[in-house]
Amino acid sequence: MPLSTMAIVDSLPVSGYPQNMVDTEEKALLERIRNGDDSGFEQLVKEHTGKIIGLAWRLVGNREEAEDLAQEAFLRLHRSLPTFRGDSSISTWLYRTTTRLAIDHLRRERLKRKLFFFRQDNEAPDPVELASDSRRDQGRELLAQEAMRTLRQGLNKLSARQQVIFTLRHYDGLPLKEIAESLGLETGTVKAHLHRAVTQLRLDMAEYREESL
Amino acid sequence: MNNRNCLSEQDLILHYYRELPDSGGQVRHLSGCTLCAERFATLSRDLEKLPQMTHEPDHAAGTRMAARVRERLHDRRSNWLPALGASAVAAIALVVTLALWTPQSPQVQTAQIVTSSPALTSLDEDMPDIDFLEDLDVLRDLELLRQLEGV
Repeated sequence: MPLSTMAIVDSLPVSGYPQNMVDTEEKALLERIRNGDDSGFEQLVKEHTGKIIGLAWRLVGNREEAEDLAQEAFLRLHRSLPTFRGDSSISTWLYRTTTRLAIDHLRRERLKRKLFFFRQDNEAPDPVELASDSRRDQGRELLAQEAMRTLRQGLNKLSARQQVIFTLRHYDGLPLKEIAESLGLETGTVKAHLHRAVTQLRLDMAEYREESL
Repeated sequence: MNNRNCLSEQDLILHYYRELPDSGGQVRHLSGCTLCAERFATLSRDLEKLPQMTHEPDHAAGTRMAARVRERLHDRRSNWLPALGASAVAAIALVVTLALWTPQSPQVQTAQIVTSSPALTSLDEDMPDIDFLEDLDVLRDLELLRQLEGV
């Protein structure tokens, strides 16, 4: 993984998803929950919330929607616990479920935009207004916000799958093989999606840089 | 690309993410080809310039999420109870109905059919089937022809 992106991966080890098997501690916790200990499930939710919201936020770009996705992932985990076999860790399970939920969410959002000509970009703050606001830092912060806005716009132009694959590889540092497994795709397909995503984003960001010069 | 050994864009991207297997000698080529090295440097610069997605950890998020999930689970359980109660009542009603219901005997059913037959008769009387009577005439003529042939 490139050094520049190492710092932002605050939720995952470089090797990818956290441990693949349920460890002893997690097993004990699962047993407690299966025996009807609700506080055990709350403990589990508290432990994983930060990582799951972080992942969902990177994938969908909106804090509120990220929290909704995380909540849905936890509810699904609760439903699956009686049959949870422990082939993968809870963390891995949650990452995969959140990723799939995010893809569904992004697809729905894209469809909505197509149907109602709704443009999420219009809801983003106008950079001119931001610049005229004396309370805000008009220097680097503004540039960073504008760059992020352009990146989000670029990501929104991609297909839901391309967006998620790019985000998982570039920002979360997941190996392509694991991304392919979690999305049920061939590694070759994931590579092709990553290629298209990077090519499109480079074009968008280049246009942004030219405009901002 | 200046020759067929030069790396494709996809290969350069995979190399950037350390996902390019060097079975085809692409990495070796990259170290010796100025053009590919330059393309790779440009790609790396572009990708490194992408804004960072820093997720600021919210320490209260876990507690909030636990409360949200608990509430939803509670709602789900409380929604299940009335549904379960209604299903139980419906099931009991069905059992009681089946227990009290005695099937009607065949005689009764026949009687019903018989009682309904006069209505059908009167209908036939009111609406004689003319086409059918015409067909009967044709059959009579056919019978006559057969008799003549026999003679």
